[in-house]
Amino acid sequence: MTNRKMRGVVLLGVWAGLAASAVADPITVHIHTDGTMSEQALTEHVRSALRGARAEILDIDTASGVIVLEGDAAAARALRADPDIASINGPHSESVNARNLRVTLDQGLVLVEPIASSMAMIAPVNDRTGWPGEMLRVEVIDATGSVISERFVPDPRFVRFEGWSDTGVHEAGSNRAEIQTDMPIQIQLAVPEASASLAVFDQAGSYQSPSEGRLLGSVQLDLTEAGQ
Amino acid sequence: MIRLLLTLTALALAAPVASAQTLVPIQLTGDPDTRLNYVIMADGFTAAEMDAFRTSAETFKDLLLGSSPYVRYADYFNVYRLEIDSNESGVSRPGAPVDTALGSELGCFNIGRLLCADNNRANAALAAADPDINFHIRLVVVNTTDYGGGGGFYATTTLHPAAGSVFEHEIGHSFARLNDEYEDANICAQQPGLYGPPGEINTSAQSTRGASPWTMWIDAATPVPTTGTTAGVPGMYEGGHYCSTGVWRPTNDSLMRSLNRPMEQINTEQFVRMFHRTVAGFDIVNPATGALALPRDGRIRLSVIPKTITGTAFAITWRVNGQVVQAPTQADSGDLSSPSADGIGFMADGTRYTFHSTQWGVGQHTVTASLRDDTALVRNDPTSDMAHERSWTITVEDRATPDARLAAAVLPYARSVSGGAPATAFSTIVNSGTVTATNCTLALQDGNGGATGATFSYRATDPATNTPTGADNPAFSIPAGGFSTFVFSTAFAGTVSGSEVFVVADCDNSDPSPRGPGVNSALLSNNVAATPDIVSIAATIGTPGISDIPSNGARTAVALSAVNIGAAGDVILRADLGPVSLPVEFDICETNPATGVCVTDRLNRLPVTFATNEVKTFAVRMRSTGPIQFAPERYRIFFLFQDGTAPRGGTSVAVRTVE
Repeated sequence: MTNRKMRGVVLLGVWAGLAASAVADPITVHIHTDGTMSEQALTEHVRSALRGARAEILDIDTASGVIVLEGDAAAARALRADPDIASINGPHSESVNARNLRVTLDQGLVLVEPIASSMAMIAPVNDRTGWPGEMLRVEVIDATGSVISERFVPDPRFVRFEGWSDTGVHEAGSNRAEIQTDMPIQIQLAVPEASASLAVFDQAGSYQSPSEGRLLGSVQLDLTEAGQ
Repeated sequence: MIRLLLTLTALALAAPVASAQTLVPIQLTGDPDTRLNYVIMADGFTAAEMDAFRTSAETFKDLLLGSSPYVRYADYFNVYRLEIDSNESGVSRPGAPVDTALGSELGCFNIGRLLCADNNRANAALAAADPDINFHIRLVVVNTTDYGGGGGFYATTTLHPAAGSVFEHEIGHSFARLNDEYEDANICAQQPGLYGPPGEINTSAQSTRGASPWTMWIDAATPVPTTGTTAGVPGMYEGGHYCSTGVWRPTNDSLMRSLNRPMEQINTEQFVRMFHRTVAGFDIVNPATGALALPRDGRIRLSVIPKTITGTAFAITWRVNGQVVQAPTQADSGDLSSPSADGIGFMADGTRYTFHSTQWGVGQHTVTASLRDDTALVRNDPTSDMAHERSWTITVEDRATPDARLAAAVLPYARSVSGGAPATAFSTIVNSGTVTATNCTLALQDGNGGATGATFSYRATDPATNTPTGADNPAFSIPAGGFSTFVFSTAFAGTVSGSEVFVVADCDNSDPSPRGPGVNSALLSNNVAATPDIVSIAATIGTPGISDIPSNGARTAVALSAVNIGAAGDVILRADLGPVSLPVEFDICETNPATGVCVTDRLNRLPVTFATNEVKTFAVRMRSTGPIQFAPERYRIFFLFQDGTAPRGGTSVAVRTVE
């Protein structure tokens, strides 16, 4: 439990860097304290509430109980979840995953259809880790043709093998990564509302294609009812 | 709204071989939309061997959910076994095919111990089992005791006793996105391209304490670099992600380095964060829609139901425009034994907040409910996965509350038709206001107040006879304190399974009637083939529609009557305790309609075979294991007739405990 001695007023200015875009909007947070807490105590309280969320404290006024900090939307969410922070004014996390889509690629053809949000895979953003072929990379492109995000989703064709000894020690040289090539690819993911088209690549980040991967297919997303 | 974004052409996807299969929930803790769904799939088991698979599925369920950190978050998981009959027993090997449902092969890709399922067939099997469940963890159990397995999109395993640890390691990759912590010079020589750079979760290119991704776990007394061999001591151990130098791992020997080891702190932390990233912290949010409007003298009750962990629920902090208006108190421990707890794992008061327009004034206001999992398993949460919130934007309009006030109800709760045939049901609209509700109409909505995709029409009925009267889709009035009754018809063009729709009334001088699952909703299915279509009603003791359960642990009963107006078929009758898993124990039996005496065993899941137009009656015995407050829009027990997971009929009652 966080410190309950705070009674005065703390003001935190949080400039929220939205998760998937570089847009930063200032937000303001108020905390009521009794003005008796030291700068270190206030700092500790905020750090505890943040629990690793990225935020930089820019200013602390212990007399008025004002703290100014710069952080992102995750930091603002963490602070809102702390009941000892009596007031926080600012934007909530912008919904950057407003469209949930199932994309099917089969023999050069692409089908896109909406799905419930609960059906979307948890897609790491800008995460190039993984075994060769484990992840598909999806470029998310807006109406201007700019890549506004990229998503990495599991390739449903991927097979992994690791060899282990009887004592549970990994056997050097045993690892294999394989792809079952004779099947359609179906992925389910969330993309930003502004998405206008998607391009799907495989082998992203692996030695077979260390840069951007191989294009499997691309598709335009029609944002309007007309012309579907 | 986006319906279909683009179809380049109709796709003719490969049609895998169909096998008889049944999806059986073996641990249900809530709506699959709000849960981590773990499915264990059978391959190489014939129908006669399915008992062996069932036993194995229990073992693999317990293997995962019985260990840390899963055991703490067991309430987050639904577990299913997918029983698929194979034509032949066993597993294929190169040059020795066996006709199994998922086409598993031991020795695939010319690797002796690699076990591959045909992922295309596995995908089709899951889609056929339930296309609306996102199965986050997928395990194929193959009927052989030979050692073998594999990972990737599907984890595969055999009945060999050493298979379990390999599976747990694989889930570290595929679910938690963890790196290997072992070393392999062949791979390292091709790094960083082959397997990418260290993921900076459990392996890092950083070497110092301050730059370590897991610095919050390293005790000040632990030297860096760390060379000790004591288990479970976080530090900076050199070697990992295949390379013996230049890469650092957090503990000496975790499960991501060697089998039969614990995950250790940093990997466990990642699992917990992924649990929270995958599912919402709230099981129910009411109203579901985020934009609301109120008159200047209006009020609205907002409610959330948080997830529970080992019987304790998350505490809720409520804010209006950023200011705390309702903070958790010491009493909000969520302790089920607390006399003030409502028995569902949380304090009822803490989960509700009533917004009064007069307190905040005309304009736009934001109400936020927040919770945070403060578990000691997580110290570093840079993306605040452990904090969850739901917000409503409430616009207080400069107008007075309408004098007409509406509520709607629907029966029966479920219909299952085929071929786009219309499904009909009845609705009653009540006006509890002080003036006649005028120029009223009915509409069909989804859970968010949007369109359902179904056609909809309605006619008034004579409440004494249920006979339709008058024209289609009339505008109507309801006197103050009165009610009107209707029959409505809906039809879906495409196949749907258990789509929940709400009948909502709105009048010129009222706000729309609220949506309440089980109150004014129906589960509609439109199938390709004819199915049972069971119309059922429930009778309670005392107040109709409300089951009063004695708080002293004594039993009460609910009687069900059902008629199958669809095709003959087999279903399971079960009681769904709702997303919050009400503290109720129950059993069900079929009864002699003349005497009410059970004619079958009392079971939690009662198999029932219905002929067309057959009427059956049932008795449900219930007793509470904790207090339940009266909130009929939230605390209901649903009696569902299901074919697999597809509803074929159902009804519900509100429940509460009484002295």
